Amino acid sequence: MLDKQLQEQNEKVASKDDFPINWIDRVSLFLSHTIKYLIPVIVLVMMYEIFMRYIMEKPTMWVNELCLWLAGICYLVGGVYATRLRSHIRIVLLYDWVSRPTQRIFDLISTIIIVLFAAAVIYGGMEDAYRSFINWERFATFWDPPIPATMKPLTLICVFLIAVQSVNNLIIDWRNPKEKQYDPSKDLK
Amino acid sequence: MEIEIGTLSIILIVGLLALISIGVPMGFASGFMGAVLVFLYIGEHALGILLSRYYSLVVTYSFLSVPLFIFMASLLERSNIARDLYDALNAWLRKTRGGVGVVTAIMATIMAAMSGIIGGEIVLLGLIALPQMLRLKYDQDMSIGIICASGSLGTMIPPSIVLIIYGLTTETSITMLFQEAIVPGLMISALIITYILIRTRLQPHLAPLSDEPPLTLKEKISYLPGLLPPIGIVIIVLGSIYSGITGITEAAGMGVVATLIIIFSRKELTVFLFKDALTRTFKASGTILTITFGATVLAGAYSLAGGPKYVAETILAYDLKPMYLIFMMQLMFLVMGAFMDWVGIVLLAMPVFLPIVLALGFDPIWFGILFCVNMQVSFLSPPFGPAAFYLKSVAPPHISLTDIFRGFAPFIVIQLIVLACVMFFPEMMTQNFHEFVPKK
Amino acid sequence: GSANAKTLKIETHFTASSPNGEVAAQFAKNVEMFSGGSLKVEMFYSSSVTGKSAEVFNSAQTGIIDCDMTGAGYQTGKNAAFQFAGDVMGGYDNPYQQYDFLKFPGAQDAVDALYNKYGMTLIGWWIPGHESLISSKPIPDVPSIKDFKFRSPPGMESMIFSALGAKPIVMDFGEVPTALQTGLIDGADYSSLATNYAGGHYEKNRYATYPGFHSMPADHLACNTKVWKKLKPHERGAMKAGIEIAGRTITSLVERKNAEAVKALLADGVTLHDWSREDRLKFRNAALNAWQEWKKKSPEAAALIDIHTAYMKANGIL
Ligand code: NA
Ligand code: NA
Repeated sequence: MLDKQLQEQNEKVASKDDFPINWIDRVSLFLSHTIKYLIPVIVLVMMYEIFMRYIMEKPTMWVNELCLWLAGICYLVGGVYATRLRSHIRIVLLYDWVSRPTQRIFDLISTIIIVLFAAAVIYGGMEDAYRSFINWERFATFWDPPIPATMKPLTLICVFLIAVQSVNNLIIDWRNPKEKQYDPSKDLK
Repeated sequence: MEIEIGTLSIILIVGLLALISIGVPMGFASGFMGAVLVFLYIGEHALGILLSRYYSLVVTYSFLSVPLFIFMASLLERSNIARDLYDALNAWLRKTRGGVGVVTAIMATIMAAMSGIIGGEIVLLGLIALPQMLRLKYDQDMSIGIICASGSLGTMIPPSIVLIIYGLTTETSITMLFQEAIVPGLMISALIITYILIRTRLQPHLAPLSDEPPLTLKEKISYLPGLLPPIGIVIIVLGSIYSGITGITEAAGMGVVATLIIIFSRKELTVFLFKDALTRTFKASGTILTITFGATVLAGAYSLAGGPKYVAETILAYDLKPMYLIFMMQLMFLVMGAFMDWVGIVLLAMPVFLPIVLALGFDPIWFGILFCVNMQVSFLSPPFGPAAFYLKSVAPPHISLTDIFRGFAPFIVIQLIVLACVMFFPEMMTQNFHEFVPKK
Repeated sequence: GSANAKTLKIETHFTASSPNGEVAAQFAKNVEMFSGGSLKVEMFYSSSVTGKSAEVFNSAQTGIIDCDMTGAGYQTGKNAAFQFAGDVMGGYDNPYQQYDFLKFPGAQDAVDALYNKYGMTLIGWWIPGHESLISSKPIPDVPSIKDFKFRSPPGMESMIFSALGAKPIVMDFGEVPTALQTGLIDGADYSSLATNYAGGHYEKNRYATYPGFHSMPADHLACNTKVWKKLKPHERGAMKAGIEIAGRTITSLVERKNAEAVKALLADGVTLHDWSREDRLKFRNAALNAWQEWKKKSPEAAALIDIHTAYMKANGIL
């Protein structure tokens, strides 16, 4: 009885092409929609380097590494965003075939795997990331940006956020009639 | 050593298949299995390898062209450029069965010179060509196959990171590798085109002809401007690389700028379009990075657990004749290619295979081309098929990964035919292979 | 007995089929033999465990593997002093001087102080020898490298060459082959003459410096200190002897391979520039200026540079 009610309720939600959103989603959304602007920044500085090298004949020593750095941040936070959108790549042949209660069990297992994986990354990498950060480890180049010092801790933070977001997804999707992927353009006003 | 590496390899594959079959995202499934592998085989202190691999991947320069290509493709797709291009192609080819498919394959072959890595081209074609081919009622499986198989040529036609890494790993001439890869690359392309032409004639419903009457030459010419923006972008990207203005990765950045300028001059550039393309790029980059990471961590863990030695011992245990040995190696590449990405295979297998290949007196350039063609198969072969992942990361949600893989079968056969040709008739590929003579 | 033999996991950036890889494999065999079978080495090539050569040191620090067999040059982001345990740029004329440096009073202590700070111990060096510049235009002397647009390894080398008027370009290693083909860069600092020749880089770029002078990266064997201390004395001896032999082997081997490449390249019409004594001195002076800058970066760097300078004076290099 309750199940049917919930199902109707959720179908309404789904049909609006919108979905429940809580503070965890808001954090992911805020991060993602801020960090994504680094992509045009990468293009801009890249053009600056080409201009300086080809036209001015004064190549820079920092563009290459800045691009690497910014892109790395994008991939990591992009991983969190992809988790929120349920757009990580998976094979749904069997998943689509089984009943909804079985799907919930599959979802539960998936989430446990992701959480265990995140725990392994964080547990195994904690010491290394901490050491890099505390020693402000640099990239061993002329410009010498602190890429290891920042990217290793950021990797752990993003993996943690992926795990949190996955648990959040599980809770939200548990009541839904069917898990669905969300269209990123819906995020844009 | 409580668990044998052979047993562990089986646990690994079975566990991985079990997890991905119930719908665990593949990046996390392989990352998790990698963690299990090091935990069981080495101990908890070795879990640090997960962060090492994550970090190493995140700061890989050649990967940078992925978000750039996705951005370029998203902009093209969101504007009307892609639509106009295919309207123009359709205007000219509406009465030629399979014509649009053939042109797509040809475009992909030309664009293969723009990108050195797998992915850039596929997202480009996936966003531009796929929706348009579906709009023109092309069969979905066939469209997907054309896009992914010809899009994979990005790593066959120079420049190619696969060949560069192979050249660096084996200290063979990258220039030679680039030269020698062209003929097999074009052969794959030619076979894809032949396949499209034959198959669509046997089963016309796969590529229906337009019901509309044929256009007059004047009408056809009026469609031609639709070809200009894409041609312009391709010329700018290729020109940037080959005239020495930019590197391969920077050229993708030039492509983004060229696309933005063209869209702006067509008065199609809106804030929403820009933001939307950006958001899609961001999402797709995160998706791609995560699944690539899963594959690299698995390779690292397997390497640490002694995988390469196991692979070498397995292959040498048979005491085969040289040519059978090469054949066995190709089989192992095919198996590994199903579960791993090509970088993992280079690192895992080359340390054990190459010394054997060289000791038998085979040409390392020839072996490199064999490897490169073999990796073309690996891009398509399930369950770990990078071409499918790249396409999936940008395809409409209703196209599932299974749908994508279903379209691949005939194209894998084409790649295997070329693989066999390079293996058994090296002299027909190019003049430079005439020195190929096994010493024993 | 071999039943309770210990196995060390050692990771190198070299590929198994390269000459260096073969020397590393021989090193593994030697260690087992010299230790009477009580110590085995499992060698991982092409940085295949860690995925990135610069991170192999970290893997050994963390204990994922036992020893790092890449080079100290990758670690200058941790401490600038590692430059002087790796590529003593503009310093030595040949690898033998640098091997000998470790025997100079105070040298081993200064190096140990640096490595131990990161929980690691330097066991020894193996040094292939000077690298050669590849170029599409003649670079016979210091004036000719003014405005020379070349791919330079990041760090001190870019500093020295900038000071001499060149225009170093920061570029990913993987982009270099195509960039050399398209003329995006005039040249590159890539590897030894022999390796560059094997890589086919002289088909478009018809000039090279030889014998080299600008860069001589030392590869090192550095072990996790905890692991190192647990080894029995004879096992440590086996490792020390093993790396010493690897050093002598690789140095002579690369000399021979370079000599073969010289013959082939000359026959092919490639020009090899042997820089004059005066020009080499100009380069060394620019390098010594850079050293002074480098000394400010960390106390360990200052200590190592002082000892290198003292050794070079004692040896008559300076
Ligand atoms: Na290419
Ligand atoms: Na595959």
